[in-house]
Amino acid sequence: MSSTEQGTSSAAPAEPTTAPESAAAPEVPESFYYVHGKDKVVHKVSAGALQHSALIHGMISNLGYTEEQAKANPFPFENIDGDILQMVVDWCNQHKGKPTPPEDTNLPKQKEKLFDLVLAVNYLEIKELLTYCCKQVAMMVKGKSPEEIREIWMIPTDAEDEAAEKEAKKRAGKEAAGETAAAAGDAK
Amino acid sequence: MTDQRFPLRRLPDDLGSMILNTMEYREIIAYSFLSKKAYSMVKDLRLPIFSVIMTMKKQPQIDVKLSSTYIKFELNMPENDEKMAHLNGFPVDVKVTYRKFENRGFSEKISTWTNQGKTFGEWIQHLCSINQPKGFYVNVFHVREIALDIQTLRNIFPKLGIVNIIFPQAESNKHDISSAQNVSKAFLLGAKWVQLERAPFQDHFSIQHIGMANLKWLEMRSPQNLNVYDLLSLNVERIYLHTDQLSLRDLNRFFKLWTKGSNPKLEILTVFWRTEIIPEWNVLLKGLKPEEVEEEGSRKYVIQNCRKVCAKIGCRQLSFGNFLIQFTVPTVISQSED
Repeated sequence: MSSTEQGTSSAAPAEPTTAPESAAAPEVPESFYYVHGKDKVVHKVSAGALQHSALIHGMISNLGYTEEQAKANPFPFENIDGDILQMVVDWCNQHKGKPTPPEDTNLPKQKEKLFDLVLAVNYLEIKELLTYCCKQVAMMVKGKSPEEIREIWMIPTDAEDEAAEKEAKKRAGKEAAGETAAAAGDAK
Repeated sequence: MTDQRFPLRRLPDDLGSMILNTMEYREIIAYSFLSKKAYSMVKDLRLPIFSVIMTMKKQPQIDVKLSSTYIKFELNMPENDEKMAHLNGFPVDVKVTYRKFENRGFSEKISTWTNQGKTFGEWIQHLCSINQPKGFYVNVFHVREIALDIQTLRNIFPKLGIVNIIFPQAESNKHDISSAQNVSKAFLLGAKWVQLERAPFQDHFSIQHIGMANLKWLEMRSPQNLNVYDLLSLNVERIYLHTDQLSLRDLNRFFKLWTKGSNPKLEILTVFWRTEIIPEWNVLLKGLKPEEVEEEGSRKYVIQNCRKVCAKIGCRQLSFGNFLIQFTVPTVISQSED
């Protein structure tokens, strides 16, 4: 995946004949990358853990950073809150190199953060975690009546939807009018 | 509940759909009632609905059958002694029974929903249009308990696959006949499968009316005033008949007329015959020149009609006093004989 991993992997095949059964290959030095969220707090994450994220995995493959370059250029995720990124990093570390189980008990429990977490996980393309998050959101309404689902998921009524749509149209109209006025002013 | 709030609609639509896809069918259907947008999202999921069965009686119910799940909506209509003459009434509430096959058995959960601001007709239309069933729309009409006109029936219900008309156990009256006529006029042309229970055949509701439609399948349970000549006029591929009224001589006459070319479309006639007399082959096959064949350890007879089409006739006892007489036209036989 990264340049450091590729460099060390070529040496690995020579070892197995002499190595004990439990440790078939020598410890490959793991490469690390750095990410930060909106709060600029940098998190050090192993390449193995980051493999869960299709987005970051793609970035790493394309960039071919060395360890030093990775340290100097942490991946910025300005649209993700620091604590949410921390949750994601923790989850990736916990599930590093392991097949993800059908039910995940290590999922963050904070309901109020679930919305941001779903968006972040979707953005980072962490498929398994997104599946768990979706299941957790779905579990909120398990066995509930339509009225309860409306309350829990804050679903607007048709009247509220129509009012919001009208409002949005009005706003768009005003903005368009403002833009044309500004363009006319510029032309003068 | 407030600590569990989640603004689902602020998510992008694809994420919302992903969440809906992980939910159980009952909650997905509950969600569909919340708004037009919610309903449209649920429609986009294309739920694997196998059939929707609507039972039209004073206290109606709608059964939605999905892959290994079954959801029954029992609409609690306001009590009155009149028949159901329209579908504009609002249910008091709706009892929802959710049955799911899991761990080698069915689990059942019951809940009660409000009427969701919808009339009975709107409930029918809502549940029928969530997705086109892979199987059928089935409508069961208890004719004594309804008084629906043809237009109402055509406007509200989808194109039905199976129509089941049930007459009361008590003697049928004029209302029952007119109610059954309305149902058959409204749906018979589009239906492929028809079931009739305790149908009192007469001038105003004759089997000829039913038989004129190009039905694939007609099942009659305990028909009244049925005679063998009625069966001859049917333009149906498969007939299932539960009766104790038809005699072996009648059946023999039917088979004879078949050999002369009547009922060319008929593929199967199955008669569930309630009798304490063991059917005599001699009576059943008299004059048919049958050829005896051994099949699956039982005796069967092959007869041939004027078009060289062959049919097999078999008879076996189902339980004490219940026999099954089956007439089949297997394609393989007719081809080889030809």
